[in-house]
Amino acid sequence: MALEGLWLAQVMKHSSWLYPTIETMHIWGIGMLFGSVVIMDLRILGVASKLSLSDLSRLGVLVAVFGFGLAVLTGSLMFITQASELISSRLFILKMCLIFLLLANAIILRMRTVSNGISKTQALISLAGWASVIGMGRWLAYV
Amino acid sequence: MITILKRIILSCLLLNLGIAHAHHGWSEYDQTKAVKLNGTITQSGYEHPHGVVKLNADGKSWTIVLAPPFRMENRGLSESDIANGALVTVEGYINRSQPDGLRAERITAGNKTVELR
Repeated sequence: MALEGLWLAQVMKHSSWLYPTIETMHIWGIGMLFGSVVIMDLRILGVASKLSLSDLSRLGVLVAVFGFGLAVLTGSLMFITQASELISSRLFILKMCLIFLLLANAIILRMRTVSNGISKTQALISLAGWASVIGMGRWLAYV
Repeated sequence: MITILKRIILSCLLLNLGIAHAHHGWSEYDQTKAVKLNGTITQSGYEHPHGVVKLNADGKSWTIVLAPPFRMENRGLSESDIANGALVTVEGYINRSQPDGLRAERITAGNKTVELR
């Protein structure tokens, strides 16, 4: 695929320190996203209900969005070094689809003004889903 | 919103059905059969996420997957050891879906043998 021929892909492949650094930053992004998602989802599920959800979300969403952006950016950089291999991997496509679904789930959850049973289900989906996305990403290196 | 969700799910399903088994990941290599190849490198990639070389051996051109560059460097296999034209011996496993693909477990270049896993 032509993507691997991009100047940026070549730099990623041949610089000795860049690829491992981008991998590290990908994990920073995942840490920020998953960490804040767990805290906000637990709060929606009724844990630490004394904490105000809106206050918690004010910071939580900010960190989560920043982490997500970082993960997407660094993930794309790793993707272009092996684009044709990854695009033909079922696991990779599944991971990308799950990310889109979880993104939609998060947006719907955020738009809902009242917290109810549906919100709780969505929080559970979010917890299980993001955990799975991380697992899939890790497995991509092995299967 | 629900329609968008439905659309994402549907296109994911379609996309997944459409994907051929072209992918050559780690588990695709048949670890029950070890193969030893002796030949000349015709194309060298000392690169991330793992090194890849083309090897002329047994009358065909193989694609040999090596290790991440840092590991190769640390174990004493430098870029010049696997440059174009270098004579090397690799031992490893053949890809089930790609008969000219080999994942090397070790490589011998010059007088040194380097473990890649």
